[in-house]
Amino acid sequence: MLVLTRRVGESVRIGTDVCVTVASIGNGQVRIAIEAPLELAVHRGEVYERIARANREAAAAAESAGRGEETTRAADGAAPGESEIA
Amino acid sequence: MGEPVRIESRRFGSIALDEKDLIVFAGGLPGFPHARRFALVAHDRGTDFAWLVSADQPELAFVVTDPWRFFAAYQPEVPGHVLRALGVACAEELEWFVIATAGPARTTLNLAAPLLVNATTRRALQLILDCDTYSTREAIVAPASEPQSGAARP
Repeated sequence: MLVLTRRVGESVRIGTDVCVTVASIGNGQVRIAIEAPLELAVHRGEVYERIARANREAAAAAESAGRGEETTRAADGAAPGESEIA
Repeated sequence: MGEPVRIESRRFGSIALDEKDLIVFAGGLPGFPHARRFALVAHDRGTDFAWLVSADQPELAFVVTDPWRFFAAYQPEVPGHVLRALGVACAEELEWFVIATAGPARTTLNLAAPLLVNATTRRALQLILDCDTYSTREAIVAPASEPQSGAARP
């Protein structure tokens, strides 16, 4: 990981089109200004991680639901692995 | 005309569709950065729910639904830069889905991060709403495993 020390008003450039500037410091907080192309989504880390966790949980729940359906189809007479979606 | 695409999934069998019908999340999804192309597959039981099956990771799928089937007042704000990134003029031009999580006791919808799809180009993204108005696990009354009456939103 790259660690840099910057003062208020100084910036870091990431690639050719992302610029992160330290706007202000105080009370244990740092305000940063981010300039980035519109197609690059910028989020607070904990907000993004909350959605990533929700997506992983949804995928895991969908997987177990899918397994339930396979079991049902197998019980309907189709051999496991041979069932196909209509 | 697009190229034919075939998704071979143990769970869904073989799904054949045209590449232009794939929904493309160019930036991936939070938690699944490499899953970019998805097929929308109707749910087995003819409910309000559909499967969003990954063409890049065939064992990855989400259960999705129309948020307004369950929350008529749902009205999140879509920032202008998101509309521009998707190539539309207003939010009404987009197709909306939310991801459902079916648990043993209840089914919840992630209203805090809807999936927005440009219906024409199939370009899509998951909008992360940076506010506390909507929950990632809003419970709905009807469980996902029970068929619902009424047609899905066109």
